This record gives sequence, structure tokens and C-alpha cells, in this order.
Amino acid sequence: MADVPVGILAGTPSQTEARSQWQLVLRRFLAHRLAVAAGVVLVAAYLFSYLAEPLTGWGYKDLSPDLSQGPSGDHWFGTDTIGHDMFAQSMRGLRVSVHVSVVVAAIATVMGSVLGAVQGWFRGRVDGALGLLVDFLLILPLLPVLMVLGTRTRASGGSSLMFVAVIIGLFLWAPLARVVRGEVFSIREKEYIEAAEALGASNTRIIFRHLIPNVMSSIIVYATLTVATAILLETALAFLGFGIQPPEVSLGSLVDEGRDAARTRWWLFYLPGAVLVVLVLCVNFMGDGLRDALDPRREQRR
Amino acid sequence: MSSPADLPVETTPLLEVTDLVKDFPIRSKGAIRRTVGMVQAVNGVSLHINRGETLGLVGESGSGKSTIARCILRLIQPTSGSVRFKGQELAGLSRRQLQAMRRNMQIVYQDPMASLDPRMTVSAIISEPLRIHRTTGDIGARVGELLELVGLRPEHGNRYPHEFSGGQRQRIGIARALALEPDLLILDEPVSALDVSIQAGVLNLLEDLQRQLGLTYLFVAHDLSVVRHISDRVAVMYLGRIVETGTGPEVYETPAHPYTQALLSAVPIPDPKLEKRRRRIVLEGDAPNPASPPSGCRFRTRCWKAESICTEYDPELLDLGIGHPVACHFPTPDDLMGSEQG
Repeated sequence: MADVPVGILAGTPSQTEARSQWQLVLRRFLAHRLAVAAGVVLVAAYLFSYLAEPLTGWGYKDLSPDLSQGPSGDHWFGTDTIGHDMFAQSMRGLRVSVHVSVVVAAIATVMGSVLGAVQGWFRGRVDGALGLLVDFLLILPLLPVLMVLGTRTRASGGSSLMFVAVIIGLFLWAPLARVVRGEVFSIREKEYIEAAEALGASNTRIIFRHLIPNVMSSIIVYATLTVATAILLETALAFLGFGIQPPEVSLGSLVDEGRDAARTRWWLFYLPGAVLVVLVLCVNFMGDGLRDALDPRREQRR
Repeated sequence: MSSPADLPVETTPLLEVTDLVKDFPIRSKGAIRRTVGMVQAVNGVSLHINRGETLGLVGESGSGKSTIARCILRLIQPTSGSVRFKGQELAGLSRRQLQAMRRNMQIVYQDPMASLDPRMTVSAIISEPLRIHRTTGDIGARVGELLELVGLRPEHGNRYPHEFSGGQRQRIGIARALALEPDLLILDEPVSALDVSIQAGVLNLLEDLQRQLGLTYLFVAHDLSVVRHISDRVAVMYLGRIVETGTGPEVYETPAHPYTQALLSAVPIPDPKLEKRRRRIVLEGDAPNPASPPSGCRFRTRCWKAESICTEYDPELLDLGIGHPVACHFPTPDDLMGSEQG
């Protein structure tokens, strides 16, 4: 046999152990230091937000007699004008922002990738009809629409948090769909897609097993951007008085409330702001790590 | 080879292609995409392959050989013509019927890197046909078997295609094509993308597999010497037509079409004395634009024998006393080695 002897690639026994694809992905992710650090910070911060009340003794709704005080041993992030403990509020806000953005990103990412892939794969009329919807969503001024829908949350009260998240999610999938559609247009011409057709693969199989995995890096990058967008969009809604209603807080609403005090009582603006920045940064770093881990070809370049 | 000769079934060829035509429309740019012309990639091709044999389909780039392969598998829709597999017409089959047919016909591509999904492990790639067709039994064990069959190790299943060399990747492609135990394997330039040293290994593997599994091959290539090595019969294509067809010895030793002669004269001979003595035919110019093929015989623009009849009448693929069918008005069996050979 003139081919390369098969033993050459076999390597050491440890390398030839059976490993599932996801174990490999995990291994590559763990090799990405910054992403792991960001992930650890993210998880730690999220879990810590549950410990805030037992640790400091202040809940996010509690009003203390200390009004407008700077950071101290008792109030780590200071207090606002009416005596809210800003640390308790920031931690509550972190949790709410994480919940909202995860739901938004999940909805937008799943819808965007599936619908984008469907457009790119079927082309023709399907592409045309969905493309029209995408165009419509893209030109729609999002904020006014969300405000109108947001008025409903005030009326309904109760489950408003998830309602806001779902609504934002339903409006944020369009840009991803467009990106995925474009990439699928190029990938569909690849020979391995034709090979799958030749094997008799169904449309569903081609879309979910071949097309979407091959645009996964874009999807993940986009999902992390969506998390950031969702946090900021929810912020804007909260600022305008829609979406999340007091006494519920989110990082967005805290930053917006503290904005006027940025020069005088800096802690009201900069401390929740710092939590927000750290949160968004961590999400982005994790996105980088995931993208690298999910693309087997990247490993060679390191 | 695979079955005893006394079976009456063998009288119908495994694959029979009749008058296959494939036109690709050329569309103008802009919002209104009018069809401004047609590229005739395949223009009335008929061929058949008997069970257990190998048909080599040879031609230069753009001669339509890969288009034929894809039309047979219905990966592209033929414009007209019939494709019969085991006597059953494939045109007009529903999607589901087609899926069932695809169990029996598989394809190995030219570029193994492009034809293997980079996101899938080798095991996932090879087991995909088994999962699609819901075969029963231990898929993992079958994948290991297939890997060993093509000369790889079962442990290699956990790796990704990019971790392999070109020859190994092609073996993976072959394993995938064999997973469903197809009757017919279409090999679309399976060794053209490989180093010469590795080509032999893959060709030998293909021959071994044919003997072991009783496979039937349609071997598409642009390299006559590669085809000679493996084919029982050969069909030479030029610009969407078959210009000469016959058994290996017929085509290689007594080529009658000028194009075949020119092709064969370009194949190097590993003997310097013979190499010096033989006649070289160097064709001038490129193949004509398939969107506007020449009138009459398609080869006449580059043929040294062309006369006025060639401009007017398109020669049919007929046996005019040569011993095998040739599409030429002036077929002369040519001994490229000259008379000294005898």
C-alpha cells in the first residue's frame, strides 16, 4: 500500500482513546484561559448574587435608614436616595439581566439559525417569504414597538419579566437569520452537502446536521452579541418605564437611575455600571472561547 | 466476477443510460434574469454498465463526465433521457423512492476534504448513511468494520477529517460510500486530487474492494493511464458526447477517433526508446465553448482530418468496421507505436 501507513497518525495510546465530540469541544474550551476565566467569573457572580442577602443582611427591596451614603462595610455599594442597599440591588439586577438576556438570546438564536438555514437551503419562495419578514423586522423601529407591547406588561403585572424577554427575543432573530442565510448560501454548494444528499439525507437532516453545525461559529458569536444587545435593550425599556417595573430591578434600570448622580454620588452609577460591563465582557470572552472550541480546524493554528 | 454466468438476470445491464441530455441555462445579470443561452454539458449520451464490471469515463475538463455522474444519481435533474438502474427507470421517481434507490448507488468524490463534513468525526461521517437508512444492528461495530475494510484503524473514528492525509481521507470517503453495500459505485475522479505515490494505493484498494464485494464501478477520470489500470471498458468523452467506446484493449491499442489518438499520444511511456519513436499528436487550441458548439462534428475545429462533411454532418457513434463504436467520419484504427511494434 503506497498510502501513509496508518500507524503514523495513531500517536500515543492516550490520544487514541475514545472521545466523544463534546468531550473534545470541552477540552478545547478549557485550553482557552480567558474564556474559562470569564466563565468562572460569570458563574461565580451569578451564584454570588444569591448569597448577597444572607451575607450583607440587606434584601433588594429593603429600605435602610442610611440615605445616599457612599460605599461602606455595611453597604458595600452604598445606598440610594431612599435607602436601598445598592449592592443588594446590583446583585438582584445582575440576576434579572442574566435571566432576561439568556431567554432572549435562546429564542433569537434558535429562531434566527433555523429560519436562516431554511431560507438558505430551500431558496426560492420560502426564502422570499421569510426574507420579507426579516426585512420587515429589520426596518421596524424596535423601541417604539416594544414600548407599545410593554404597556401590556404593566396591565398584566405578574409574569412581566419573561414576557419582556420573549417579546425582545421574537424581535431580535432577524439579523442572525440574515447572517445564517448568507453563510448557508455558500455552504450549500460544498461537496459534503451534495454527498449528504447522495446518501439520501432528508432536508431536516441536512439543515440540522450539516448546515447549522457549519455556521455554528457565526451563530455563537452572534448569540453573545445578542446577550449584550438584550441587556442594553432591556435597559432602554426600563429607562423609559416599560418592561421591568419597580420594585423589580435590572442592571439597566439601576444604571439609568444612577445616571444623573454620576458626578455627585458616583457609586449609584459606576458600581452597577461596572457589574454590567463585567457581565457583558465575560459573555463575549466566553463566546470567543466557544467559537474556537467548536471549530475543529482552529486547533491546528495554535 | 460476482455472480455465475448462468444467471439470466445478467442480460440486463446494472445501469443503462440512454440519450442523456443536460443543459445548463446561462442567465443574464440583473433583476430580470433572462435565459440568454444554454450550455450543453451532456448531449445525448448513452452508456451501460454490466454488473461487476468497471466502465472508465474519460474526458478533459468540461467534457461533461461529472455531470453524467450527477445525473445518474439524480443530484442534478437531467434535461432529458433515461437512466435505468436494474431495469427500473429513475426519472420521475418520488423523493422517497429516490432515497431508497440511493442505497444502491453511491458516489466517491474527487476532493475528499471538500466532500467530508469538517464538523463531523470520521465515525459520524461513516455512520451517517446507516442512520439515514435506519439499518439495524450495531452501528459502532459496522463503522469499525468499514474502517478496517478500507485500511484504516477503528480508533481513527474519533478524529476529524482534517487530521488525516489526502489518501486516508479518500479512504474515509470510500468507507462512507460502502456503508450501505451499494451495487454501483460512481467514482468521480477519486484519485485526481491525490499525490501520484498515493494514487496507486487507493486504486489497489478499489480493485480489492471490487473483487471482495462484487462492486460495479463507473470510474470518471481525465487521466487515461489511471483508467487503463482499472477499467474493463472505456468511454471517451469530448464536449458532452461520447466519441469512442470499447473494451480497454480496443480503445487503448486501436484508437480510431482522432481525439482518442491525441489523448493517448500524450500519455508518457516509461521506456525512453519507445517514447522517442512514437508519434506525438499535439492538438491546437482549446475545446470550443460548450454554449455554442461547432456545427457538425464537435471535434472538427481541432481535428487534422476534418473535411467539409465534418462541418455539415454530426457523426454518430457507430461501429464502422473498426470493431468498436466511434463517432467519426474517417475512423482509422491507429497504432500509435508505428509499424515497428509488431
